[in-house]
Amino acid sequence: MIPAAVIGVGQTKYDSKRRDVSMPGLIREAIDRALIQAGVDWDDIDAVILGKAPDMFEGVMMPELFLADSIGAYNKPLLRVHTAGSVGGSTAIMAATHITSGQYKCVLTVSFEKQSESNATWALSPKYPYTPHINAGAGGYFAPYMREYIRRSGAPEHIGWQVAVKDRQNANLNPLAHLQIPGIDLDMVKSTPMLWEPLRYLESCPSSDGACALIIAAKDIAKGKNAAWIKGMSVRSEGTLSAGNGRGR
Amino acid sequence: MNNSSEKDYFESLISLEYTHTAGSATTRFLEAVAEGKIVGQKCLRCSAVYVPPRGSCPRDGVPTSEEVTLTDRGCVESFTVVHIPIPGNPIEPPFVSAMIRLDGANISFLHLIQEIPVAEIRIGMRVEAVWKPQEEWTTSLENIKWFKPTGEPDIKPESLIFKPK
Amino acid sequence: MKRIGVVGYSQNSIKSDAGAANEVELIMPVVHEVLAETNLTQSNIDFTCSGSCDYLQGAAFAFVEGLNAIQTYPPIKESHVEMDAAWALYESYLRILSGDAEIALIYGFGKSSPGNLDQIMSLQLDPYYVAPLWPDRVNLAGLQAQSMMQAGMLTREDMHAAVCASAHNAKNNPSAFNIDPPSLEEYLASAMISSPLTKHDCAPISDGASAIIIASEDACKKHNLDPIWIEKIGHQVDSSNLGFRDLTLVKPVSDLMNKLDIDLNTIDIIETQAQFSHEVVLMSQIFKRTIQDINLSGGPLAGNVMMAAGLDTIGHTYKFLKSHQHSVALAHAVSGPCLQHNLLACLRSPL
Repeated sequence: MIPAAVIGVGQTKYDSKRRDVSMPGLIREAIDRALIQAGVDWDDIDAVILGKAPDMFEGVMMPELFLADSIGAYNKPLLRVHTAGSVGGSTAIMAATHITSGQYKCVLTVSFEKQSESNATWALSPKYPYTPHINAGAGGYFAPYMREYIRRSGAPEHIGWQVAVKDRQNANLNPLAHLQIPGIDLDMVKSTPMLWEPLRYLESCPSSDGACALIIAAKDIAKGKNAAWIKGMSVRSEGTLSAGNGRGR
Repeated sequence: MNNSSEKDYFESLISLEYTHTAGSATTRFLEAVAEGKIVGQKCLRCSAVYVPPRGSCPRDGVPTSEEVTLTDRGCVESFTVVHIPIPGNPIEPPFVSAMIRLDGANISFLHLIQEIPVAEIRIGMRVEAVWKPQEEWTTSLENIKWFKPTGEPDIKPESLIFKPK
Repeated sequence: MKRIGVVGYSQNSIKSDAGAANEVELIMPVVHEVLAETNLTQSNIDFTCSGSCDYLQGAAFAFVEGLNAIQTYPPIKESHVEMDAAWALYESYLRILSGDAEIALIYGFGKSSPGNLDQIMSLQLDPYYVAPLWPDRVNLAGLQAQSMMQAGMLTREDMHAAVCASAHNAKNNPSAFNIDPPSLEEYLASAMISSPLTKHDCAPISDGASAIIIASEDACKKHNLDPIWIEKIGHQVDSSNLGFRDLTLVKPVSDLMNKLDIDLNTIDIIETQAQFSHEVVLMSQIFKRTIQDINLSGGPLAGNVMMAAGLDTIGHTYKFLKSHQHSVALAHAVSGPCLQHNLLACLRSPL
């Protein structure tokens, strides 16, 4: 594999509603930080790769088109990846592939969501006229699988709460994190309302606005910089309705 | 110009109308359910039975051409108790949304479970459909109001694991 | 640099309304046909990429349904662009170059009949300044057509000629619509939708799907495939601010022809995803061809499957190179209003 390295990272302050910025403003907060950390400027960027899950989360279709100018893609190649929940990962992999293909030397990749501009619960609950409408939100869809996993793995009840506590304690050390819950502990998580059993409120991720940008570069540009070399990448997908797919059936 | 107490945004509603199509397989399923029958489709390569059918077997990437009639009895593959209301739906939380695996099917579909205290529901529980009165039937899986326990012994969840033929 | 070629292409018969056929039922036949054409099975495919649009289908994550149309067991290496599948082909091309795959399956699909395409396309626009005015895709195209007219680059007769050329060429394309073009008098008398565009000047509402397989040179040898080489490929986006652009130019195309060193004199066949008659005229001027010599498939004016029409330009050029005595072709795919985002691919027959 042609060597490729991350030479800069930029993230926004994540929050439930970033009403202080527009979509371009939100994305640029991340991009600008990444460019500064990488020590490169717009002229060094060969291509821009945007990652964005459903357009319905912001109400803008194919947003790479209106964002082209603000994210520095003007007169450059621009690609937009959408692989639903995995989009952040697949976009970074697609961006790194630009380098490992040998066709590009330095690319900017950025993924974002600004769910506050639309209604994410509505977007996640499509009402087809020929399917009973009994599910709302991603959690309602995933909860039965979690229950089945708990049953066959024998995972004790408190494991989920423990993970939630561990993550949020780490978040208290990250000024950019959306949720800052000082003093979070098992009792606090356990006392929050049940959403979709067995998931409680504090076991679920919040709905956040935010963006993350990476600058990924080839060897000659990454040399001498604080570089994180990409050692390997992989993606896999399966059909949602496939008999005997990875959920243990 | 704006008072500080005013909102810093305004809402602009977008309304788009779509004519959704069910596809031939789902259409066949809905026509049958309008007559109180449940039909699935079988993949001739791996023998998986899909209900509701989509017309394809994602394991093999081939059309599922053979139709299979199923009963309205099955078991609970898994479930969740929903505490969050659904936008635009009158159903009141908490309610049980379950993955129902009909006898003879190799995938499950979401539906409701009622007529049993929530705490007693378990994976592997045998259930049967409770239908609306026949005069209310349309081309919709909502002809089944919910599933209720049959009282039969639970099945072992391991028996639900798919074995391709 | 590793050579990569197109080895198969299949396009559904384009329909104005696919009726009860859902996306899975549109995708399965073209995937099976292109596999049959290449004598490959799905297990030979080591990367799959699709192009589609959630808003077109009317639900978030709608493209995930498309995966149920192909073989996904064991789990596959797959990705998706919310763009025309021409860009899915570009992504697959990079994957093969990087050594991540040898053979890639690309498919694009779209049903424009269920929704109001004009309204849906308006959602592509800047949500703060432009979208609230709801200019639709014909309004925006009209702006470009007017700019051309004012610059003396376009007459209504030219537009009519483009409509007739498309209808005439489409008669040789079994997948395209059978269009009965209006006479010049009828055309000049027809009502404007958005001046100077009449309904004849706009690509028809279309439903369908297309699939292509590309493979590395090694894979072609190993599996006995017949490649048409993708000699050059690249893409570039212009500003989204229409007021910032000179709408009589398609700067990304001119830039790409320079960057990719494309010599128009060596090109035998050109397919362009021009969705309006004035775009056909503009592209034929840029590509230095007559209107009749562009889009021998009929082009989008004879059938325009959103999210697949760009892929179709590559597919049609591939087919022409395979079955004719020509050696070099140029495919041009577009996205966004007024030819904002452009992709060019130069294909060469090995003969």
